[in-house]
Amino acid sequence: MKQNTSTRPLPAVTVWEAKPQSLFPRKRHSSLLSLALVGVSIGFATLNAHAAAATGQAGSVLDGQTIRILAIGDPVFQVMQKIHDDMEKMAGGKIELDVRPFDVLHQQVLLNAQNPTSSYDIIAIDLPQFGEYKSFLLDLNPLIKQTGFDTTDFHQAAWTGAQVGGKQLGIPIQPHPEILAYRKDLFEEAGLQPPVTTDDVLAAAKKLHNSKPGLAGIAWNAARGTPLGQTFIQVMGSFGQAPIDLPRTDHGFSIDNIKPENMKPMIDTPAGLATAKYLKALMDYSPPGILNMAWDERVRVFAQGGAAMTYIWSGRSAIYELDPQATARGKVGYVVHPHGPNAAPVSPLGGWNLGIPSNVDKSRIPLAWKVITWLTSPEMMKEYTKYGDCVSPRHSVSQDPEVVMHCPVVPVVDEMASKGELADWQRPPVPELQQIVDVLGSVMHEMLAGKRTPEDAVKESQQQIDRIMRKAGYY
Amino acid sequence: MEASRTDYFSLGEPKPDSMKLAVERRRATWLLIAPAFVVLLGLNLFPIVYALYISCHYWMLARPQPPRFAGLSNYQELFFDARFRNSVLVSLKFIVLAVGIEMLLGFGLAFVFNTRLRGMATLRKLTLLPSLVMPLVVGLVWFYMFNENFGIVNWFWVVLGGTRVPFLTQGALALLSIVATDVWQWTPFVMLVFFAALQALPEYVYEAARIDGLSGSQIFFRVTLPLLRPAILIVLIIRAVDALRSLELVFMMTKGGPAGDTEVLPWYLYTTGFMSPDLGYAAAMAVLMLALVTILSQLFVRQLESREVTR
Repeated sequence: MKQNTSTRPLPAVTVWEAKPQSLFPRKRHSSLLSLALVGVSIGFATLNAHAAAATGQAGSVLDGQTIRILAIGDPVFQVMQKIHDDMEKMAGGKIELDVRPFDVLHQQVLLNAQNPTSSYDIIAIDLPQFGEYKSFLLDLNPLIKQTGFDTTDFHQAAWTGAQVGGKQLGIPIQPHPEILAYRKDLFEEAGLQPPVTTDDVLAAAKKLHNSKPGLAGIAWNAARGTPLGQTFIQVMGSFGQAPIDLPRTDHGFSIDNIKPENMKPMIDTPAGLATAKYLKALMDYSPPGILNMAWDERVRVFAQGGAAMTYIWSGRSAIYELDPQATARGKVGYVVHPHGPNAAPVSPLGGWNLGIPSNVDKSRIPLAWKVITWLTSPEMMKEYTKYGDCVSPRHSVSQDPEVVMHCPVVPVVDEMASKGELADWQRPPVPELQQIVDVLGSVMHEMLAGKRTPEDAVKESQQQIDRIMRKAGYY
Repeated sequence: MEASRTDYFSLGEPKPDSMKLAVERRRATWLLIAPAFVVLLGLNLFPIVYALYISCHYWMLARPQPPRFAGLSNYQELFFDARFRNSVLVSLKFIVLAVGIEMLLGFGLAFVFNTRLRGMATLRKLTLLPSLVMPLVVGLVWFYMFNENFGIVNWFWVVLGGTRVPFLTQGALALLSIVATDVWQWTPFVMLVFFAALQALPEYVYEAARIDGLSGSQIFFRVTLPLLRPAILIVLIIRAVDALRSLELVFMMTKGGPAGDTEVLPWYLYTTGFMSPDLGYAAAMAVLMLALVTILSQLFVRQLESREVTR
């Protein structure tokens, strides 16, 4: 069945919206009141009919059954937690939403894959994890064809990012790029232009750092482990290099058919060294406690006015854009990841998709698919934006005026997608990706703490990752 | 012929019937303890043997291939792994600092609470509260308290005129912050054990000591301390082993940073086994950690046993 995105009534979203102001102002004539009552009754009847239709449609999703979802503590799933009860009412069944932190989710997915039967019907998959999970996920292509699921509304990069070897392993729900957010007011005040290159970032950070009490130049992920490891390979992408020896294309690198010879690490390269030096240089303009700063802290510091710039996954911009108390609200501009010398401007695409574990009980596959199509429908995506998930992988939702009003970052990302400035080769989908990230997150942390030189750090990382690849038997 | 009761206790050569009975009794004994024995084997021994088995394999959870036999290569790799050596060293530092401070503070507090002053019972109950909190929650709370940007400790310090302190991002200070958190949580437990031991000390020994003319300090060193020795050793064993296995505080507060200065052995094991996820290598690490825990606990147990023998 083809999804009708334009005419379908909103799925009972009225229950989440703010209460309308009083319909019956005091001191009005009784006849007017009667007329109003009749009018309101008719209005309510119409609304109820729409709501019933919508609820009826959504209610048929679960039909009294229970769906088990393993997810991440990222905006879209946090929104689902927030509106969980309403969603259950809409879907007409129970939604067991198991939300875990990034590393715990990764561990849980791998352990679940070892079970004869999956404990979950749907799991959340980060874009670069498809390579690692490809053996544990169901190919959704037959279901897409069978149900006529419309795929054309999705951003091309987001849609193809969930494919491995021609198999569609997930449906995008919160794919978003890491971009650079900057305080427009502070930049204007200091006579600075939005940063385009890494040198611009350093220059702006230098000028703005401590220019006001408690203001740092830039907030970023320098915490040990996954936060820093991911930062390193993403920034290295902005210096024009993938972490492994991927085949080059006109627009970057190809991850379609990664061969064993492509698994050689590329950390001890000019781009790797430039990345290490850049990150080391950022330390001078970073907020206190930078060596323990990860995704949540950097956005929090930026939102509270503690930094003039931050690297940010676009979906997290809702943390300040929707918070009236946030200092940064309404004052933020967004640019693609600033690039190094001789490299193209490109932001790493990441974020979350919904997939079905291949070891799920076969009888539950239709239900899981039904729920995935519902959760990734345009109506639901629009709802997520209202409650703190400033992401839309669907063009139709990205152009919705209401969404643009809530989330200024959405049209910016849509434009980046149209320009081809989003890519997913920075974190190639290989099973060893997390090991690469772990090595970089550990060794580069030693460099940032002053225990290694950048040269030594890239050399050590190269050797450690090389050992991992050899141990895995790639070469 | 039925054996009379006196047969069992009669001296000299046992009669064939009584031998048969003894065999049957032994058989019955084994039969009765067999279920418990099997359960013990299953619960205790099997996981250890399985860990040994995995440690001799290359097994990546992220790869669909079954485990591949790797001999002792995982152990060999550990031997050259600087990160592993560092984590063992950090673990030992953590144990010495945390357990040492907890023992001293717990010992002192036990004496304070042993005095018969008004309100002591209530205070004692309140003091125990940190031990009742989940270590993960403790780690999270102290992570936010020590945070340099929005932590209350730093805020208070700045209000008093100081500059921000990098509690969790400066090498030695980060380890000390974790030690302080552990001390905050577990000193009450140490105090409780010492307090119970103090309460159990017989009064007549002190009376005898006073009659013999011993001074206060002499009574402490010659009477109290030797009598408390078993309690001290038991607390040492429990706390040292527990501290060696401790993962939660590092997980919540520093993730092993900065630059591995707080990377204790369980954290390195956890990241290797569940993030990387190289199960074979992590299992080899776990086996060595088990050996370390066993050696450490045996050292204390020997001390305890030698005391009992010389008693």
